[in-house]
Amino acid sequence: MSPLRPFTALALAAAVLPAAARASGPLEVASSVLVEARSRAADGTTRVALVPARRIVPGDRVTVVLAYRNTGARPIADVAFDNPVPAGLSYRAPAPGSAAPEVSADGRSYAPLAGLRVGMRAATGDDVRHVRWRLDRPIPAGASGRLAFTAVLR
Amino acid sequence: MGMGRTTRGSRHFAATALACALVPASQAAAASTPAGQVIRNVATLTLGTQQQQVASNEVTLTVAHVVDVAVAAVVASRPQADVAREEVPFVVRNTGNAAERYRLSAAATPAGVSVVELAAEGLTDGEIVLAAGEERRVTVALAGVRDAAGDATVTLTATAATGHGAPGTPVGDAVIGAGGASASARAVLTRGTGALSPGAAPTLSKSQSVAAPDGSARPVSGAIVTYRLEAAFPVDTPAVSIDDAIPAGTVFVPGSVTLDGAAQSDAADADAARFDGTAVRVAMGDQPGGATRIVRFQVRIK
Repeated sequence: MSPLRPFTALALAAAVLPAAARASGPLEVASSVLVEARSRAADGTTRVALVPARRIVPGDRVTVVLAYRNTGARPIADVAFDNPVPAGLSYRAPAPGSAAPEVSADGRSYAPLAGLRVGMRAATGDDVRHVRWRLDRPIPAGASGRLAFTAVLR
Repeated sequence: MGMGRTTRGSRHFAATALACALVPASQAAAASTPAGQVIRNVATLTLGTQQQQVASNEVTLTVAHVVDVAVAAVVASRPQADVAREEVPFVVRNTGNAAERYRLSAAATPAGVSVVELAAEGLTDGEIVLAAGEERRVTVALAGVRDAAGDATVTLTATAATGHGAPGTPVGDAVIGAGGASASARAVLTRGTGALSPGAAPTLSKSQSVAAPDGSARPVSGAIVTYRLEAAFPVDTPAVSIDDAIPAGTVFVPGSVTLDGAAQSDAADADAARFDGTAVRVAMGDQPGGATRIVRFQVRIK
């Protein structure tokens, strides 16, 4: 088992449920994949809730969420998150309320999507293979946050 | 595609069935992720100036089995041939993401017209098996057409053996796709009017292109579908109009109708085209033999 993935067995067991937070020293990070669940309220409006993905089909929009928390007593600086886009998903956009990530088609050069190029043309969401956030300030002790992007199942 | 029914001397083209069939077709062309594929997500965290790297937990999702089907008539409308046995071709396409068995059935009207045979490669006990994205030609043979009164209509229906119903309904480990996993298409064999000999009938062909908000050609919500209707008139044809209902699940893009490249207003006014809330209607008047007219319009997928 790779030293980078000691929790693989646990995650598989948890299947589609939001998996348990992964501790790396005092910084915990939990990855989850959510889908939009629409329900019609009595007043005729449609409410959209994000729920753990259980059954996804081609064309479904999912939200990939990274939730982090500094459980230590000191700030943590120089934190970066890199989420390779899983095979079968096409990147679309930052999720509402999330900081916009830098994206990359090759895992080497990163830029905001609007500025990313593939060869001679502007990149589209379908080209994105990596999504990265670099936090520009330390995470204070006890603080938490969420970073998220939306994607579509091809 | 082709000449529609004749009403008081005007020729109406009914492209509706085609319009409904086209969106699922391009979905299949976009190569859906196969059922059972496992999507894994792991993020990597880089900490501190030593660049210590740690992986997050892994989230796995299994792509569900989508059951769906689309049926289209190869030629939606054509004149009857004066023969004892008429053969009408259709195409059945597996628009789901796994192999599926489909039950085929055909029905014909009016009274006196009967379905004598369904033929397709691999047809067994009225069923065919198609791989994900695969399509197959199905031919319906009819008897009694030349003796029937007026136009004959034949409908081919394909229904998934796994189940069918409202989109999103779970059936076992599968889920019903957007098309309901049961689809029909209709073809009309028109009775000649004398004004047109077979082979001189006008033809209508329809094509589409999809532009999604992200620049791809995937038919997702928000994508703009541009339809192109090309009507060709081998001989002088009086009082032509084209009616094309917009597909279910789409919204007409106001001001998007053009006739031979010229913009048309949506209102019923001096120009040829209008949109009446459900269909684009283009009244083109008399057409000289040899004319070709091109109508374009756009819809947005909801």
